[in-house]
Amino acid sequence: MIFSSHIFLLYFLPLFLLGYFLTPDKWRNLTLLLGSVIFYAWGAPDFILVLLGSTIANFYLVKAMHRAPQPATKKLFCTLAILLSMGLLAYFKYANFFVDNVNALLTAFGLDSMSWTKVLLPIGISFFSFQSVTYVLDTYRGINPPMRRLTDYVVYIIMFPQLIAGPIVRYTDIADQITARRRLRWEECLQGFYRFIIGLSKKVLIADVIGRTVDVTLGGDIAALDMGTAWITIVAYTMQLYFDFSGYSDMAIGLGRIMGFKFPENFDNPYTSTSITEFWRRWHITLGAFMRNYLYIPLGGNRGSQLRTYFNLWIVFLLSGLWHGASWNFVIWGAYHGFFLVIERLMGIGRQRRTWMVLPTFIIAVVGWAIFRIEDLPSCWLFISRLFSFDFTGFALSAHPQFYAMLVLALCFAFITFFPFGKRLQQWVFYTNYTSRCHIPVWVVSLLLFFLCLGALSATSFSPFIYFRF
Amino acid sequence: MSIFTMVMFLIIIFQGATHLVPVPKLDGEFEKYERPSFSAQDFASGEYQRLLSRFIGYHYGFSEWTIRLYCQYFWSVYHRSPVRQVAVGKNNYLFEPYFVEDLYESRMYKYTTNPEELIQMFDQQSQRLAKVQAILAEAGVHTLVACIPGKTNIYPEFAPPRDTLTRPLGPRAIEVYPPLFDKYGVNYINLNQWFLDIKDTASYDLFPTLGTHWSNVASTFAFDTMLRYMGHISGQPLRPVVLSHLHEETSPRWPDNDLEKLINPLFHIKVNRPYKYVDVDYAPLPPNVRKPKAIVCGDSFFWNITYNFQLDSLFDYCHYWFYNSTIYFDSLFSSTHDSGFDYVDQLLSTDYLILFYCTGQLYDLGINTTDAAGNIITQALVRLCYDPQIIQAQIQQICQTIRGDANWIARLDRKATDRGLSLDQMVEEDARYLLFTRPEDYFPELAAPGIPTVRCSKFRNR
Repeated sequence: MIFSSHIFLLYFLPLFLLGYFLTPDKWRNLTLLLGSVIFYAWGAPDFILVLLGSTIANFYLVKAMHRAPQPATKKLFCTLAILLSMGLLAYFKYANFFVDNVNALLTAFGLDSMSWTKVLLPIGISFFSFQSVTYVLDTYRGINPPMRRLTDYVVYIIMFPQLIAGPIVRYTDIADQITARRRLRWEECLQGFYRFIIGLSKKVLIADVIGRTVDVTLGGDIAALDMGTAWITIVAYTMQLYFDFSGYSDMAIGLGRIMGFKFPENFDNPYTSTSITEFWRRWHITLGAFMRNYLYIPLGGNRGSQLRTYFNLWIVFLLSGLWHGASWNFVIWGAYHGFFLVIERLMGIGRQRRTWMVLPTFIIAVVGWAIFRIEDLPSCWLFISRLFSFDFTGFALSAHPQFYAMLVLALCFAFITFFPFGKRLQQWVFYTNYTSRCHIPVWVVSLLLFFLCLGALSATSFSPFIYFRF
Repeated sequence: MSIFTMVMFLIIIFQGATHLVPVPKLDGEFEKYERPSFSAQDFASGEYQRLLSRFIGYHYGFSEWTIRLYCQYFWSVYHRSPVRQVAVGKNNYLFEPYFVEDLYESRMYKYTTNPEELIQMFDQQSQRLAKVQAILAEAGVHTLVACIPGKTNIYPEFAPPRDTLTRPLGPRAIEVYPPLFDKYGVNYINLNQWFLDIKDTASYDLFPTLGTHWSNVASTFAFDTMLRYMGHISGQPLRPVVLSHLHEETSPRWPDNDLEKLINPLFHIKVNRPYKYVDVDYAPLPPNVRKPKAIVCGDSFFWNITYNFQLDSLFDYCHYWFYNSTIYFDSLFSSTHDSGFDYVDQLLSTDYLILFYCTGQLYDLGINTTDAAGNIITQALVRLCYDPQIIQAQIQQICQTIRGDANWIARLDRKATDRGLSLDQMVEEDARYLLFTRPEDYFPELAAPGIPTVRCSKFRNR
């Protein structure tokens, strides 16, 4: 089930929330658990047992780890628990990629390729695997004790608001909220509802609209694209991705807030960054934090030689790239960002915020998204060459005015916090408790946006005929 | 307010389940989605979820209002149509995209990229039609083609910009067919030209701003002209029609705003031009004049006529063969797709066979939209000349040829699988298609110049 679907918005969510609000405080986790199982099983019935099985196994492994008196035994259980989480991720997400590459090599050497049945990817595995890892390692490091109840742990892993696309909530950040949340307050619920609607609107009214033109352009003849079309397309994709992903995060954060959780922010105006280093502190923040806490620092971080630090950085970004998808373009995309991070370190860029660096940073990010978007490497290279072709003949982009309107709107929103009034606006919209007088207009606007989104979701495939018989 | 929000959601769910509150339905015809029945197997495969989501997408409570809200937003903000069946031109003029395509590129590209090939195709179809006309004339049946105008032909100045259409303009059916009809002696009335002639002097809109079909009033005057032409070719004048009281009305009559309805906005689209209508009356039937029988085979432009005229007053019967596939016999409100009726019986018992096609559909003159082999012109030509046994024998012969060609069979095998037919059915269907789309290849008499002399036994014994 996805958030931007009628079945979620009009049936699952209201009925779940009704049940959740009517449940006494101490049983709410069970309601949430039940809702999350239904949510996941609806979209991926084949994998719900894999998810539950691995989660339960992990819970008991960590429990055993915590009880183990010997450090070596603790380490063993910790390793087993991590292997279980990462093993599942490796199998489901990377086995096909691995076999495809081995087969390509075998074929190149004139050998027979291996036969292999493609493995389907369980939705959300990249997120819940990482959350399991944070649980194992935070417990192992003694930051938090393990959960006492299995159901609480399963809730942490498969809680539906952040199960599919994050944010990756670190165990230590949410452990207390799972076991002892504050009583629900209607202002919090409403603020959560507003945040959810903002996310839904970003996804349905902006990202999806922009995405339709991007898909058409990139699905066509890339070689025929002039430079202007290529740039508009990739900038549009840059906005589509941001509004899609941050919209989803907004919806997750809003839903969490309605239920009494406080999830971490996942985006902080990434396109106003003045360096790639800063970009990664603002883009997919929870992934960056995960990579820093559970990979970069264990690798040695910046405590070793400079060369070692650069190597660590680069490895982290290479793996970050691979985490986004099992394909070479993601690896190259990770390496591309890693390269710029190393360059910035070498040149001392990013220590001080220089406003003029926003544009070059944005351009680097935009070109990076071309690598991210176009999986086929020759096509990707061709597209990048079109970006710098200086061919201005025959502007080929034929887009609906709605595309341009949404693109401009997206650019405005993406860069609004570059200005002080934008920062104040953001602070007011997202982080201020509204007065009762404010709630009414905000509520009305939210409902209007909600109904507009519902209409848009239907209208996308809305196609009446005058005379259907024809 | 949280409670309000929750109650609102529950009302939507309740309305979705009961549809208790009457909400005006969306306009236009839609794909009808049924609520899927649950099965564990479908759930496991995700099919149940997919079908239920699709169903809910159009059946949730107050969905009509949310869709209209979005459509209104789309129209008001972008001044574009939210549905692909409508293109927006200047001054709020709405068009169907295929008419726009016909204006800038011609619809030739649907069939070929070679103008000569298209003209050749039309030439052959005109020759066939001339033969059918001549054969039916022996039985006292009068055949004629009514070339109905298309909106972009009459009001190109209001058409949307060329936009994505980039190919060179090819020959248009409305320009190619009339000289061919003249050449082969086919009866026709070019109402497209008539509209162009009166465009600057008519005191009413020939096409409504918000509709795709000819305006109610213009179609009424045009049909009156056509009735006179029918009387002219048969030598038997039809019952005179009296048109009077040209007047304005504040709101449009159907289908003068059919495209606006497809857009489904919350509020009516503003139109600066008045809607004009005319009253239709019928003079007494002169003594010794009988009401003729007619078959009209054509597109949706004939609907206007059925709304404006009491066809019972003019004809003994007027069967409407909508795209030659949905047949309206006795009532224009009940149709059949039954193709079991006998073409020859039908054609021989009428007085008029009228092919009624607008400029955009003229490319497919005689088409049957549900049966690729069912073009009325070739069907009539073959069936009026040959008995069913001969036709069937010829089909079997083609089947044998097909079965002897491994590549052909392999191709049809794939096609049969796709369409859920047996290979034998597919082979026979292909053979039928060949025979009725290229009858001259299988019946040499039909290929010869002039009127074929061979007739089916029903024709001979009529």
